[in-house]
Amino acid sequence: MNEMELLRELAQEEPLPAPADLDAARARLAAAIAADPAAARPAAVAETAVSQPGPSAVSQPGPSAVSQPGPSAVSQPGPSAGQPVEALRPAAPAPVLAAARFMYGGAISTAALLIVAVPFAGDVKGTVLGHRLTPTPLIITLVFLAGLGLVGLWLWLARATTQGRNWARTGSAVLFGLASYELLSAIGAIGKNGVANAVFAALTWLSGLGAVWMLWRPASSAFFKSAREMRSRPPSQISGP
Amino acid sequence: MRSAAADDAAVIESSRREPERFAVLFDRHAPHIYRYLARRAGRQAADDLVAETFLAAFAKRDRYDLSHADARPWLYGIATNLVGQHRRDEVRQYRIRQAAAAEPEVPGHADRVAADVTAQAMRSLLYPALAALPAGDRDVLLLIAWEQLTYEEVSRALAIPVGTVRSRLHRARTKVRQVLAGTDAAATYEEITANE
Repeated sequence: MNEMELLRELAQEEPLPAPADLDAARARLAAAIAADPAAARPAAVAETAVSQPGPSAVSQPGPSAVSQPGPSAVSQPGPSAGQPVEALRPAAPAPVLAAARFMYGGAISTAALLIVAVPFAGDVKGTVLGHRLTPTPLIITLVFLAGLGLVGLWLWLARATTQGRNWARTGSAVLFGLASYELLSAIGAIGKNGVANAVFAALTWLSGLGAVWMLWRPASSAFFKSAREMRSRPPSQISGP
Repeated sequence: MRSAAADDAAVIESSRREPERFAVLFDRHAPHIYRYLARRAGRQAADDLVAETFLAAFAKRDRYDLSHADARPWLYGIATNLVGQHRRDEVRQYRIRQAAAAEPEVPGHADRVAADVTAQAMRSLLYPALAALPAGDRDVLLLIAWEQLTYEEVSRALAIPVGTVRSRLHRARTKVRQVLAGTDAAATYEEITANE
């Protein structure tokens, strides 16, 4: 066996990628194709016809503009003339969708905690971020409003991540840090507040861990990068790196 | 692959008027370009590099020489240039594979086990040998050994004369052969496989 045969044998060890492995790359190429001036040309006439000029408007030929085979294909909405750039962002890859599902799970666990806590609201003498709370009606109302706000925050972040907003990814990481602190506090206060509080804190923390892990996968990074490029440049200037 | 690639030039030409046609080129070649990039820079880097390769190709499609029906050398050339910008990833990848190759596997027939162990020893020598090659020599060697490109295709991919391809390949093979020949593993392996 000479060195060339040995090299070829080594090469056999790397299999072809699964279709899903190419999703992020396909999404970035689809975004570049959709934003290409040549792709916009036919619809640009229509754009003039409907009188929607301006740098934030982009056009693209019909829904079959980008060939995307298979179930993991990127969906390009193929908007009609005059639709904003936002409509042309690449479809979120599987890890980002998984992160969004983790966030919806976090919203559900937070909502469940609120519902379970309703009958005991007057009895709970808990602490939030180290501050002791006396359960007056005002405090209870504020705590529940804050809880509802948390549910809304989960849902908002989930939506923003699937739209490719990078701040949502960074914000999720920061909130995960706070959730870690809250979990440690809940574990430390099991004797005072009971196990249920720690369990819900752990569920929230696990949801956050799953979401953050998925959001920093390479395919997710490629998606956020692509979405940022789409937003930051006028469509007529996007035709590749 | 080669027959399917025969009309790459036609696809590229039509993509100049209808950019969405470029997706055909992606579907046709992306898996192999990805595998090449994964072999050289690791799967994590390949995720990004395969996208960069096709974005660069899409941006440069107007300059593609349509007299070349097969676009693979062009795509491999772009991919190889991108690997050149990620040398540290590439060297790290060889180290990882070297470490993996150094771990013996599966029990079995004594001679077979000995052959496997020796082959693994040779592999563990091959990766540092690849890492030590000059970048240009390594590009030529791997495009020919791994991607089965011809001398002419490598010449197109790297924009160098065919004579340079030959000399770089010869130099790279000689260096790798010296590394392998200077060990007991190579001799043992030849001996065992000859007896089978």
